[in-house]
Order: sequence, then structure tokens, then C-alpha cells
Amino acid sequence: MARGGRLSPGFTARLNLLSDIAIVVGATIVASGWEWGMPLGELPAAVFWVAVSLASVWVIAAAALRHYVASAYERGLIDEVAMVTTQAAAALTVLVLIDLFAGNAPGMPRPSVFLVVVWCLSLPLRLGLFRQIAAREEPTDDVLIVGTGPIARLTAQDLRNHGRRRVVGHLRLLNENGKEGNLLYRSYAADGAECRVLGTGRNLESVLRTVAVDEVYIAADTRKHGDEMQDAIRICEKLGISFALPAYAFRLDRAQAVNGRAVADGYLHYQNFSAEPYQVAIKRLFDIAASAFALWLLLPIFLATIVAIKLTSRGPVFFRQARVGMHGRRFNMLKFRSMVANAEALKATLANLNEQSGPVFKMRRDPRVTRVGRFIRKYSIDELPQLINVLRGDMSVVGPRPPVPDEVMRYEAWQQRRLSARPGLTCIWQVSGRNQISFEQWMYLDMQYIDHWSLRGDFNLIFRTVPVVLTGRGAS
Amino acid sequence: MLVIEDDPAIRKLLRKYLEQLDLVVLEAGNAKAALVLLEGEKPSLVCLDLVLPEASGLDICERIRATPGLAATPVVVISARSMPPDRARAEEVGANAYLVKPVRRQTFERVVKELLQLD
Repeated sequence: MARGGRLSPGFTARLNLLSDIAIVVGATIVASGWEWGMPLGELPAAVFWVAVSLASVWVIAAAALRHYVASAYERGLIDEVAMVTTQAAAALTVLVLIDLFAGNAPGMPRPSVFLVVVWCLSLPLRLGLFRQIAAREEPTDDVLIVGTGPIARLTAQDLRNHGRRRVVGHLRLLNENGKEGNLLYRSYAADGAECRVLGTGRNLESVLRTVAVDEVYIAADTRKHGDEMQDAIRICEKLGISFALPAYAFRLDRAQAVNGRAVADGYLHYQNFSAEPYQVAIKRLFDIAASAFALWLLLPIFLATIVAIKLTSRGPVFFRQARVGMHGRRFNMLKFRSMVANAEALKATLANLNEQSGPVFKMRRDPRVTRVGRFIRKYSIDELPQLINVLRGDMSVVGPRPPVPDEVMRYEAWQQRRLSARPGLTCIWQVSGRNQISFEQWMYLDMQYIDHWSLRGDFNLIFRTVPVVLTGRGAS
Repeated sequence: MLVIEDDPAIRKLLRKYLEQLDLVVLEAGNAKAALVLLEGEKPSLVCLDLVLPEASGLDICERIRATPGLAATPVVVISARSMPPDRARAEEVGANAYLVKPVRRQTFERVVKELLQLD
């Protein structure tokens, strides 16, 4: 019973973008008509240009916040509200500025009406319609299934038909024979999907280190594969990856689980992070509010830095670096460019001058840094664009620093667990001595953070980071 | 056809579906009646509910598979439980198909026709 007609990725986004542009343009016209009491035909042409500029601002803000990328439709409700509000606020700011300069020119829309119309149309449509449509697009979450037997096959089928999750592959367990494998392949083929058996249960660790996986389904009969399932659990725990175990290890003819919702899909889900969902929500809410406010407050510094970089050095303003985020998924971390444009290429020639133990490259008098670069690094201004990463949800304010992919390849297994938390701007390491610390100690500090996470601890770290950044102490 | 199901309403519905395919239907409302019927009759298909008053449908399925004259009889399990581990368990005891309540008529007919190789 495959759900018919999966939508191609991006369909919702295009529909959503068109509808939002229509809303912004419509709201401008309504707000103008409201203010001047004129019917549509009599509005001056200037209103049209105002509408176009507001729509452009909306699109730019949405691009920065990645409001229309496929994964954005998986965001929590507070994220959605915050994103739509931020975009509406950006358009509103421009409208107020236009109003200010245009004086009392006829046809200028009333900002309050504009805001109310945009917000009241865009947000409900996003929550009520586009998220539902997006749910029918190709999935964005990746899971790995340990097992190729009946439970694994039926679980994969279930995920294909109902879930928002993609099965990246299966691992075969001992005694799972060719007949079971054939049934598995046939079940995938029946849905027109490709079945990938990536190896055996023994390959779990190496597979998890190379493929980004959000959750591992350990889908086998506990009575037959108990030892191997236990091994798989151990590896998931070591690497800090969430996993699910069949909720019914034994045959139950009549009995029901007391908390039925906890096992609604037949699995018990485990995570290696002790946070309650409401605490995670508060953390995210704080991230959104703090980063949006900080971006607004720091706008002058942003503009000054952009001008300084553009005037003194050739190349782009931002430096996008691939970093590894939560669950090993890559994202582009934004920084103001503080080095010459071909810095990554020059890194290999400097490798023997590395001053940091372990797989990280750090060097005090790096010749690749530009003059402006040295200044903005000293005061950590180069790190400020990461506030955009925070607002987007790639990062959090507090969390282990996101590593570069090379670094992760050289991690020991237990260090991989750093990736179970959303990476952050600051963590324990940043407030306790900065670069004067060994790689191993740094990893231990990050594990401390993950294992003993609390909201209060986060706020403590933020307050202790502020003086470190302001004085530029230890930063190089 | 033998329909083993403790809910009379569903039994009646399945009877209607099957009779419209011109099939002869026997009903059993509990496991004991089902086993008695199975001793004498050799149905060409069994529809089986998993939660019965005094036994489990899985046991009946196992019994059917272990009985020489019945071992090859197609068994369609009809259950309210839809989760993969439940389905896997039914497969293990030899069920040929697993339908989740509420069963849609088209699905039911398709599965029955497939198993009986009608058409």
C-alpha cells in the first residue's frame, strides 16, 4: 500500500514562494488602499514599485534563513513562527524606511496593515497547508536498518510508505540467509525503490562513520539475534547516535503497552542526550531570539566589516566552510573572510608549522591572514556571521564547535559522539583558556557538556563567553 | 472459506465480501469452534483474527501449518495491529497475508483472489 504519487523535492518550496510573493504584493496594495481609501485601479504606480521592493526583501530574508529549502518544512512550530515573523519584520523595516523618505506621498501603504495582512496569511498557510504538502515530498531524514529479516523488511516498508524518513541501507546479521535477502529486495522493488545492503552487523561502526544517519533501527528478532543487537546498541551509544529497538521482543497475543503512544510505530526510541523535549524547545527559542536580536544590533558592525573587507582585499566577503553538524550532516559555516582568497590551498604548504596537537590546524602567526583579518579575528568579529547559521538552525549559541570533515575522519570512535549535539558558537573550551589546551582535553570538555547538559549551564557559558570575546583574551 | 473472527459485525462483512466472489463461507466466532471446524472441513482459505476470546490467532495458524491435510491452506491474518514486529510474528507462524483493520474491500478482494488464484 505505497502512498501514491510522492512529490518531487522542491515542489512545496516553489508553491510556497509564489504564494508568499503574492501575499506580500497583495498586502502592499491592501495596506495602500486602506490608507488612502482608493480602489485598486486608482492607486499610483509607485505602489507597484514599493510592492516589488518589499517582495525582494522578503525573498532575500527567506534565502538567508533558508525558509524554502526542503528540510525547513521539518522545523518545529516555534521555528516557523520565528522565521515568518523575522521575514515580515525585515519587509516592515524597509517599508518604514520608504515611508520615511517618501514623506506623505499618496499611495504609501500603512505599515501596520501590511504587517498584519502578511503575517496572518503567510503563517497559517505555511503551518496549515505547505507543511502538509511537504510531508508528501521525498523524505529528508536518514535511517539505517540493522537486519535484513522479516522485521527489518516490514519496517523498511513501513518507513517508505508512511514516514518522512529515508532508509539509507541495511546491514545483514549472522544467520540471515539469502532467502530473506531475496524477500527484502523484492519488497523494495515492489515499491520501485532501491535496496542497499551495506555490509554485515560488524560494519556498523564504519558505516556510521561515513554515512550521515539520524537514527539506527535495530530491527531483528531479539530471541535469535540478541548478542548482535546488543553489540549494535553498544556502538550506537559509543558514537552517540539515536537508535530504536522493537517494542515487542516477545510474542504478545493480547497485552498492550501501557503508554501506547511511546511505541506507536512498534519501536522504542532511544537517544544519548538527556534533554527533555521542552528544554530543547526553549534552547531553540532562545537561539532564535538571541541571534535575530544580535544580528539586528550588530548591523552597523556587519556593514563596516563588509566595506573594510571589500576595500582591502580581493575576493568574497564571506568565507563558507564545510563543517560537520548534528548527526554528521554537513553545512556551510559562515565567517567574514580574514584570509587571502586561496588560503585553503596554501594550508598544505604550512602543515609542518601546526601548533595544535591532534587533527586540528592552528598557528599563531599565520601568514595567510589579511590586515583586516587580523583585527576582526582579535575581536572575534569574523565569527559573527555564524549568527545566521544559528538563526537557520545549523547551529546553536552553545554547543561543541563544529568540526571540519577532515577532522571527523580522524576522530576516535568516542570522539564521534560530539556530533550528537547541535554544534554551537561557544562551549566549555572557549571559556576555559581557549587555544592553550590539548586536543584530547578539548574533546573531554565537549563530552562533559553533552553528558551534563542543562539550560542553566548554557546560560552560564554564555555569560562567561562575553568577557572572553570582548577583551580578545587568548584569541589568536 | 473459513472466517475466524470474534466480532460478529466484521464476520458478517467478510462473509458478504467473500460471497460476492461466489465463495462458500463458514464462520467461527472463537478458537474452539474454529478448531472443530478445521477437523472436518478443508477450507481453501482461512481469514484469521489474531485476538480471539480464548486463544491467539497465531496459535491457530501454527496448528494449521502443523496439520498434514491443511498445511498448504492460505491464511489471511486480519488484525488491528499494524506494526512491523506484529507482522513479522504472523509471517513467522506461516501467515500468507496480513491485512490491517479496517480492511478496505478492494484490498481484501485483491488478496483473496491472489491467494486463490482466481481470474
